[in-house]
Amino acid sequence: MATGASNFYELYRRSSIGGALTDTLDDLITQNNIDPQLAMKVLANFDRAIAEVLQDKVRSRLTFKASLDTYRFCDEVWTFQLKNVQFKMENGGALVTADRVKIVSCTAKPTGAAA
Amino acid sequence: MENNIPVPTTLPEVEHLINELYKPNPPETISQIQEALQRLQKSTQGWQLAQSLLTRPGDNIKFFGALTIIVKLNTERLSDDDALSVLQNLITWLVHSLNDGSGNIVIRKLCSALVTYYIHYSHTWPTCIRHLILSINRNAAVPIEEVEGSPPLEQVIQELDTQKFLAASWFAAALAEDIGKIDHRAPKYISLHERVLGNANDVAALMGSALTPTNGVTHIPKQKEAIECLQSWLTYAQCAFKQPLVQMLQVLVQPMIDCLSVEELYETTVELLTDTLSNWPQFFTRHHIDAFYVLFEGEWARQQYEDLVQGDFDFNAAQFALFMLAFGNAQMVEMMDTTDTRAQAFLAGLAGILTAQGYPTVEDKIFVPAVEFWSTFVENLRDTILFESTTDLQWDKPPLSRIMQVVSYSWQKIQFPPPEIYDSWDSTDKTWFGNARTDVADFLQAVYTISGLPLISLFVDLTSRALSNSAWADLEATCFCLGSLSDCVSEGKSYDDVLAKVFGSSLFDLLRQGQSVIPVRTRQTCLFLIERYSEFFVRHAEYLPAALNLLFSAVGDRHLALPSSKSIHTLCSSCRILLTSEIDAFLEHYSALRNNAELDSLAEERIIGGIAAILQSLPSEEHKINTIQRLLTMVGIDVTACLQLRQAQDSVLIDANDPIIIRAFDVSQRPTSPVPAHEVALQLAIRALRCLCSISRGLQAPVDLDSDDESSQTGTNPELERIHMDISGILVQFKNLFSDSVEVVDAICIILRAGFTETEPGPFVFPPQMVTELIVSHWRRHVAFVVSAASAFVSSLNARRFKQHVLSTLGILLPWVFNLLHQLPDPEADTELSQYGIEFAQRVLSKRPEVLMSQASNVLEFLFAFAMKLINGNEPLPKAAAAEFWTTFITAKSDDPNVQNALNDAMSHLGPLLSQSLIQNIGGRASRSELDKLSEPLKKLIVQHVHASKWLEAALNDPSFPSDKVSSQDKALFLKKLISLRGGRPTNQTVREFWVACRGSSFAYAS
Repeated sequence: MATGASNFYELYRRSSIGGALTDTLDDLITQNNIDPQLAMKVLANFDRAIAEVLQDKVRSRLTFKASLDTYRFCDEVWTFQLKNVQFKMENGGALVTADRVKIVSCTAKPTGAAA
Repeated sequence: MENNIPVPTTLPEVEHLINELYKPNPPETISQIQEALQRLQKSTQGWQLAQSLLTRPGDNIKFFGALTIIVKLNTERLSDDDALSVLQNLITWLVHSLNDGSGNIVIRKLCSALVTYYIHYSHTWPTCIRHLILSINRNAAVPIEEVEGSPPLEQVIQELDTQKFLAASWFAAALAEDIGKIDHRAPKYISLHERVLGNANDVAALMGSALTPTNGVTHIPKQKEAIECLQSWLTYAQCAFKQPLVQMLQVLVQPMIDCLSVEELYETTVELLTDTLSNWPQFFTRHHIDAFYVLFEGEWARQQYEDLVQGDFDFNAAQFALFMLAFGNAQMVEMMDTTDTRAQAFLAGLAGILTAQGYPTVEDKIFVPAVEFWSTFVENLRDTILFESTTDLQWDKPPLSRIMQVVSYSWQKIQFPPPEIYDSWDSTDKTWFGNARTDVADFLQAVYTISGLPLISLFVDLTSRALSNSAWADLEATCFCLGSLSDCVSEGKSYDDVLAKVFGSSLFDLLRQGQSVIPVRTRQTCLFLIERYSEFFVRHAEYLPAALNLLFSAVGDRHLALPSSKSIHTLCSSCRILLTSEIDAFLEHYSALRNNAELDSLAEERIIGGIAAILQSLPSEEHKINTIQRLLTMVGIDVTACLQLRQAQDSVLIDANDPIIIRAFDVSQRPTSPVPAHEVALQLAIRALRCLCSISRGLQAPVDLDSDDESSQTGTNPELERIHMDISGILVQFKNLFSDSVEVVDAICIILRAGFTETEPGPFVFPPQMVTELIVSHWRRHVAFVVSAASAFVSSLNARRFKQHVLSTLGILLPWVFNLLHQLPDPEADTELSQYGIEFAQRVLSKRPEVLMSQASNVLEFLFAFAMKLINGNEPLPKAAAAEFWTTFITAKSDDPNVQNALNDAMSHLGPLLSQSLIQNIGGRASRSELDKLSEPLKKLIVQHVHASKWLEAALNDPSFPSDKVSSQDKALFLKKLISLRGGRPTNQTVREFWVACRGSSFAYAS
């Protein structure tokens, strides 16, 4: 999941913002405005920047209550499957409910070969 | 773009173009020059050109010559003899450049060219570092064989002057950086990496010679360069992780630590050590850790620390603190060992950082990283405690006593400064100060997981002390800390007894005395505390009246309106059952507040929503209806005023001091000049509608995930019907007058939706006919929102007691939606309407396929053509909605044989067209992010339809297929894979790979 060279996860490339960025890069390549090497570099920067921004800049938070249905820890990845989930946003935002939620969590810094 | 610049044919022409390239020229000129020069570089004369350029004067010319060598090395394969000849030339040019005063850009570019050579021909130049140093020292490219009999390397390095040393260092650093980018595991490059390791000893000697100067003679530029070179090699070593290389670099740690006390080297060294401690703590040995402790215990570090604690936050001091924190993080396990006196002394130093003078983030730049360290420390300690099942931790002994010390320091640090200082900060400073407080809240929550009740008791005691000392800044910080722990506190007598000391104290009385006694900010935080502990008030109703009286007294104050109204809303919602007997008092309070000119609209919405929540819990239906009528009467005052103003002439203006203006506009938006009556009417309409939104939400039954959704109540209530008529009348009037306004349309849709999820009758649970009539009536604009509400309405009917109305409702709504879609000149003319319209059709198809399929054939033809156009279109959201529609259509089933036949017939006609659309998209027309959505109908098609393979094959081989980059065999293989995957999840990956193949290799940069 993490590239050896950059040591940041690529998983946020599948997020909405990552998808939009990749589509834009595809368009720029189609129009011959950039080459794929630059696109690759932009995505590597995105991997780093989104990890840092989510860690350092995002201050929003929520709490949730749920029944833990299943959990596992495999290859440094925790997976939790929750049932009857109630999310409570900060500042008294709306209560959001969901029947089932899956949480996949990885260590903040991918373990490199040396770690 | 046509290139008007011909490829140059003479050296002066080339030089002229190169000089033009590096001058400020228009982008198109530069692009044309670049293209002309690149053609020349790639031509057969490229080598000759580079050779000529490197002998010419001028840094730009030489730089371009070296660049040309790099291009040739990367694009052409040479025989070993030719390659060695290039190497000899490169070294010769480097030696000349070192002697003829060429700029550093030329020397660095030649070093890069040598590294490029090494990457491609390392087998011809195994001892690259040693050979290069020897050649530089002798001012000539010596034959590679002479390396064997050369003097010891250390001696040769000692003889290098500064410029030559720098060149060797630049080459060594570039070598590590460029080779580090090459995959370590690829078999093709294993030998390259092994040869690099063969040079590591020479690199270590080069760096060591500068870092450990003989005879005590230091040379700052050489040392600085050696540290930067070491940084590159550490990065390479971390990825390569070859023990011999690591050991060679470990020898350099002590010399590096010694560099810290040299002022000119401090910045480079401390950054490198901090980065390595943070990212690769395993690199350091026990011996190194001891050396770090000696450093931190020494006079130099003591001075740095004292400067820091006294508020010196210049770059060097801040770097020193980060260095300490990085060391603390790297030694986290040792720091938890209370018998390790050296580690405990260091930990005391890390706690002391939090006492540095200055406001967090604004002045004290280290506070946040330090709090983050302590949060991590506490989390690690908690894990250790849990793992070891330790129960005999004592709060007056380390490490817990140290943590409580940090809690105390943090609490003092997050106190707000006096208003005159706070007001002088810019908005960024204020935001970051607030964020630092949030970080402390996180830290306290982590501490709570170890401490539990004692932490709550600590802040309760601090509250009492602050109250008795009238220390308002202390009180504010204490209430903030206590509030931040509210989510952690569990139910229990011991907790409630402790909290009762706060909520039963003189706090509420003091707060009611106003700003003259307690400053605004402290009052705001105290009100926030009430909201945070609303669950406490549910368990202890005896404290509720005092809290609510306080909150209502504060809501009229502009500075306190928002926190107090929020607390009122939360308390009313949480304690609704306890407060039902007080509903009349609440209505009177609200009625009185409406006369307050300062009442903020958001505060009003929260209060009225809170009252509605209490109303929802009233046991008697009659009482409920009477109360809602009283509430609606108050909202009706705004409605009446609004309608009167709307009837005025267009030219009528309302004076800015008119009371109706004060009601219509909040303080921050209040106009200073006369306002058109129609504008005031619109604002009043929005305010009234938002109050209705708040009432409708407040009246919703609390979420109970275990409850049965079926209602037990049946029958009608004339009073309730009258309320429905009243509310509906307001909505219809406002819709007729103001549906140009997106805020009005949005609010009306929210009010309608509020009733959709309810299972019991209620004032906002309108009869289906009433909702349908309102939905299909005329809307001036923003009808897409109404279609979206209609989708939710249809779904809710299927799940509720109105099931019998589904058919009649759909009989009206379906033609209405189709008619709206039909009026669009193009499906992408109004993307929101297209998206919500097709989502509506998808929901009907999913729940009641027989209703959709019973529509007239021309209507169905239009719908399918519309959905096909959307999936072929370029708008992402309608396209995704269309993909979902087709997924539902492919899997639609009915028990009615006639309906099933109709579905089958439709599918047999539409299957080939849908296959073609999907294949066109997957063949390269779709955006990459749309592929997962488009894979869904494809998977269903393969699983559900026997002809899917035939349809897809025809689509793949159709002349209109958008890509010529895949062969017939590729297409056949793709189809074979799809069919064999039987609609499984790996289909998505297969689709992605085929899309990349169709788009071309340029798109393979991302998976």
